[in-house]
Amino acid sequence: MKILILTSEFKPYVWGGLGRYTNEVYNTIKDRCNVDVLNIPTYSNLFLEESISESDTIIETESGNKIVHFFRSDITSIFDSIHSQNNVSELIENIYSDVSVHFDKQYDIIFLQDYYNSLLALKFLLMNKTRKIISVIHLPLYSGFTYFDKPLSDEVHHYLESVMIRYSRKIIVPSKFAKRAIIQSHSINENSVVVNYHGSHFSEDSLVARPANKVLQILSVQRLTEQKGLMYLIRILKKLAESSIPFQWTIIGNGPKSDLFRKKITSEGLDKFVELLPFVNHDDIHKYYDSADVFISTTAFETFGFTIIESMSYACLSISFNNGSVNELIDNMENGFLFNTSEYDDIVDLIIDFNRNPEKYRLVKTNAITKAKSFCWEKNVERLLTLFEQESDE
Amino acid sequence: MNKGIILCWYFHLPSVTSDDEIIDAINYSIIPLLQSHFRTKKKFSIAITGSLLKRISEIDNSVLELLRALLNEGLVEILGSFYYEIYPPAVPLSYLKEHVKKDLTVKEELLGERPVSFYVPNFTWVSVLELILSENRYQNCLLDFENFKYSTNVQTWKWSTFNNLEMKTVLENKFMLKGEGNLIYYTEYLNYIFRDNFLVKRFCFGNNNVLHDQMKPEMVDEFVVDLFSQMNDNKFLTLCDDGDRINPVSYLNYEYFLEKLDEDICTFPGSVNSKEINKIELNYMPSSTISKHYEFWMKDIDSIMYKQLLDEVYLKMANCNCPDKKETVLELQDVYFFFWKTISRKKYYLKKLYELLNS
Repeated sequence: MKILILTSEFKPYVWGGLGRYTNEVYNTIKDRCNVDVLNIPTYSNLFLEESISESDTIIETESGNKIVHFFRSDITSIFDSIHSQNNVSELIENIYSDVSVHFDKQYDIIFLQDYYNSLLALKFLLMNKTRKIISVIHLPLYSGFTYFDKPLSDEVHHYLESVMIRYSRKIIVPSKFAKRAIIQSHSINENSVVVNYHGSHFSEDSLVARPANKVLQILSVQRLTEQKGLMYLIRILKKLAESSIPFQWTIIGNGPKSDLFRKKITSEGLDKFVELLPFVNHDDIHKYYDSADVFISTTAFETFGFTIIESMSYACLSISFNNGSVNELIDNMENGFLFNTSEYDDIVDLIIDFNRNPEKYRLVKTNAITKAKSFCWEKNVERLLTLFEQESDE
Repeated sequence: MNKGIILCWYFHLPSVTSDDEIIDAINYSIIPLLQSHFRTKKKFSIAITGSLLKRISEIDNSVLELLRALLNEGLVEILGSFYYEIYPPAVPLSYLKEHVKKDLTVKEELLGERPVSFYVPNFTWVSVLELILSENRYQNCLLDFENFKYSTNVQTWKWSTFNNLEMKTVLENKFMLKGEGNLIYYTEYLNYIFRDNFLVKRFCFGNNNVLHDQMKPEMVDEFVVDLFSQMNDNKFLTLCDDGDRINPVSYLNYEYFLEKLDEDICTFPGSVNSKEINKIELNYMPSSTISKHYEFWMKDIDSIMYKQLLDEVYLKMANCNCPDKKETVLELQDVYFFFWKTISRKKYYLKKLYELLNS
């Protein structure tokens, strides 16, 4: 079976959960089938500092598989082109003619990640470079807090998402919440949408929940964007600082709000409690999970929650707002804690209680490991491969 | 007090939405909104359509409990609206009346409150509503003065909207300058409170506004300063919009905004009944809409077709005595079919409409 992963994030040009997903899937299936990768980073401007020019094509080969990173300065203008009804077809044609020279075989399946490259995937299909498209929708358009509070540029997003859905044999989503969002906003048969939960990695050393640190170690791992509820973090941080408990909070992540976030923390006098790390290598991040007592997510909306499940796998006391798909990961008070966004003060009370009496929460932390283990990359990829095989047989 | 800030939030979800979506709206918007007012003790008003309130009562009773608690504390005014969200110019009189009555009934039954102030969804107003609302003992009505820009046929006065006088609206024999929209108007039937369109756009519309930029609470500070600079006697600054503007992203700034307001500055629409307030008399309130043309709502063939089918239903209903079908007709008058861009759930309405016609 020959598969082409068409994505906008792939190592080392990774921005968030999508990049993590594609890497995990690739690493697991590369020895089992022929899989190439075409990575067209839509956030290419983030990587331009790393001596990548505006029109670079970087080609790697790994165990006979081809990985092409295609940088183009006009790639982000797909949205603008559609919005202003300019000739997006021409743009797609140009991109296709530049990338297709690197992919001379016919693929059984293009495995499309999210909507941005949907027109390009369609081009591959029309040019008979693939027989089928199977798509993953990581962040459906209407997976925000309410169906009726629509983001800007929703029309273009909706259009590209519709193209993706129309021409895909199957749509894979990372949660029941995401499935619901897709079915309700598109004319689609429920059977065409498959829930396939992402996986996590586990530390064998964390089989037994470890005792709490003397100085409470709190961890958050998230992009620094509005979606992730940054001001809630600051509110919680502030209230904790007013309590008498000794703590240290590590926040790992980067994003458009990084500078503002840093300034806010400094202006509130909270910097002595906080370590801000814009980036930690994926191979090293486990050390932070391993030493954390408490993990906090203040996400405003979520369609899976990688970092939440990772924190659970390291037996952190995992606390999150109950938004989006989070309640598919955490069973409140059983293996973690869920709060409504208006209850952010209660999170502080919980942390203080945990600090006073960590043993009380031992079972919750142990249960968290068990729950996290049910989210397994091997299971995810097995399901994926079964789906690919079923589709390529037809 | 003869001035104040009127905060009002409106909620409606069409009947095609699933229980899960209603639970989302409850958890992400409604409950946080109610809790923030409970915490900050600031007055506000809320308009939940009767059909949605009924569904909420069947799904999650905590919303009604919270509302009752707020009522007991004198923190909320329950506003009336239509039973479903409708486009009044496209709805015959008897059904307009039915929407108003049914909404009132649900609110009285579930909350023990009979609303005296009415929220017009999408601020689309038809002049006959004044008579219907008055008949149902309403005293006040919330509108949007921008919508009246093209509501009159005084064509020779069209120039007045573009000159340096910043004329915003021409109501019958009453010009309305920018700023005069914050005054209270009245006819023999109702008091009229006009939403401040400019303030609302700045406050909560879209994604680039005071509430949504969570990282910039200083925008809230500036906004509050501006609000207070506009507070004069007999002026009511009315901020009202769809309630889902309050959501996990905007919630923090909203609560911060409430905390910044003086204790007694927030008030209810019902408070304008007071004799202390000087109001401007109007002879007539013309019909209005969010866009100058009826075609905004009926802009595509699909909508025109649907409207024609509805017209056929009205004819059949007039000739038959079948009150049991009336509830279905009310449901089918929901603006969902005319307004929402996503078409995936229109079939629900078309199918129901067709079955009704055939029955």
